[in-house]
Amino acid sequence: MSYVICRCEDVTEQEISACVDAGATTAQEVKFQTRAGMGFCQGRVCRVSVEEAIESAGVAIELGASSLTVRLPVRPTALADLADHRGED
Amino acid sequence: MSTVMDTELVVVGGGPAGLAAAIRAAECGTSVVLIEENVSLGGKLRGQLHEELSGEWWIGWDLSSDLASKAQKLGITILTETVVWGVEDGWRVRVSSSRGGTDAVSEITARAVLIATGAVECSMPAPGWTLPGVITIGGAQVLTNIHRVRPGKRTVVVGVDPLSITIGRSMKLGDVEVESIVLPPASVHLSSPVETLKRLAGLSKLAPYFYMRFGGKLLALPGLASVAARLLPRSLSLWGIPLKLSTRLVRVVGDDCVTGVELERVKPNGQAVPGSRRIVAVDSVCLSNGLVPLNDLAGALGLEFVNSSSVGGRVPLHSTAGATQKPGLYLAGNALGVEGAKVALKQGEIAGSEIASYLGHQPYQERERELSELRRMRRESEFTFNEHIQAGHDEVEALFQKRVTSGTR
Amino acid sequence: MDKRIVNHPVLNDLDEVADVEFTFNGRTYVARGGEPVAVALLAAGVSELRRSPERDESRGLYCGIGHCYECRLWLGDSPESSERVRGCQVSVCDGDVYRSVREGDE
Repeated sequence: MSYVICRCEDVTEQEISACVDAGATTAQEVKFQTRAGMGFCQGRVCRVSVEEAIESAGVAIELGASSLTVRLPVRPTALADLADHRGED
Repeated sequence: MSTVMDTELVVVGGGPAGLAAAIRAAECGTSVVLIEENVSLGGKLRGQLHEELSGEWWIGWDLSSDLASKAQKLGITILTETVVWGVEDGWRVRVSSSRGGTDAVSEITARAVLIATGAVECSMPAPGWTLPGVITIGGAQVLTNIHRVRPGKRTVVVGVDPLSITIGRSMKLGDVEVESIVLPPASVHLSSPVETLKRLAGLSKLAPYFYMRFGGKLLALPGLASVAARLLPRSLSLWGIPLKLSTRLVRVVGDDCVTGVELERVKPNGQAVPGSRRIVAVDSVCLSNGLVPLNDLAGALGLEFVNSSSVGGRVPLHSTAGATQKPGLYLAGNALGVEGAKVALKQGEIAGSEIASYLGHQPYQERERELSELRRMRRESEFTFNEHIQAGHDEVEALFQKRVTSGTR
Repeated sequence: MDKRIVNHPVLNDLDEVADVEFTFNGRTYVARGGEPVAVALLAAGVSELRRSPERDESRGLYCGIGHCYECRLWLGDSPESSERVRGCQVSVCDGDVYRSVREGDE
């Protein structure tokens, strides 16, 4: 029975390994392609499980705050708030 | 129309560490702005409820209120329902409202920032875990002890650790029927009865009283862990709650909400007992799979991290008093490692003094004494999640000092 | 079954606070003044807050402390003037209008 490991984007472990089988070689690629860890919670809930799934699929996790690179804003923000966020992504 | 504030110290997080730090810094003459995303102060402390060694109750709700009053009386600027979405070097703290809409304050400039964002819970993915009615053990604590709403009429707690046991008991005190506390599904690492007993035996050496309440003698000798598993009773009673160390969750059952759980019995090594699966009717499931320090803000600042399983995960390099490689940026509380509230409070006090000293208000004369006290509190803490926690902190400190003296980064 | 823990063997009895009214998906509910909307809904027997975007599964409160965003809702009188909020964080004000989020067609 398939169940999600990333609740925000509804991503299953099978989708993560399929992504690696299809050629993804870094955690970042897996994240961008499956959207795992890229939803509202920014990986807060799923990071450990998603990283385990990525490692099980054969891709190494690089050390950092998270292999899911942290960028601002770290919480969902209204676009109006970000309008003042000069010069950053 | 957005407003910019300016202050000496911004404290991110109004839990025990953040509150203690803000109070201590203010007592030393610092102007402080304390930011909390919830409507009330206290963080996870608000929901804590357990009996201490002395027989007295630790009531986090009352302690939180006391700390919040103290903070107000000291003139600390308190911004609740406010979310910090970014911290930029120099320092600039970017905020927005938890309620959305136009913000009264959008940013705060400061000479120092303390990140006290606490920890997040590790998820426990399993079939049916996304159904309404399945919550984290922390969520159960919030509902039951803070909001005073029962998570359900009848619950199963999945995961065996100090939190699942204490919060299971909290729910029972709140008149929730706690059907049992069981092991996690097979997919969770080291979740067999033997591994669970080994882990509990290690923790019981560090915090014996907590474990003595239920067969502490059984668990006291780690060498006997596997023997104990063979002799394991099917159900041990903790305050009337069945702790089933040979039963684990298979899946959660329900269509649009929880209606039950499927459980199975397991052998000491974690192998399923064939034919033992059964469905138990519950309307609530509480998942407990440990905590991990939350450091997204520190991560976005480019601090160097170290991965220490003893402290619970990845933490930024820091000194024991909470200083980081960036002057003016400090950390305190569970963001540094997962421990109990008393340790978080102490870390906050220490960081508060450290920051006041950095800002030139008051030299931190009591530093060595308070750092020793921190070590003592850690040794005596009932709430320990890893038996090697002190060694973990020592490692991080050693690495930090090495970086500082070699002048790298 | 009354889900509220009014009396407790250790904690203080619940304070008397004024009730407030709010709507969720057009139906009216009552909350204890100041409590989070997802908690008020749970106390009223409503546990489904939205459907998940890809798999259309029922979702509700999960972490209770603002980390997971599972309990996200729209708060606002009209779709044009709504804000996305966390049901476990935002405390209910009298007259608040909440709606389920529907990612996918927004």
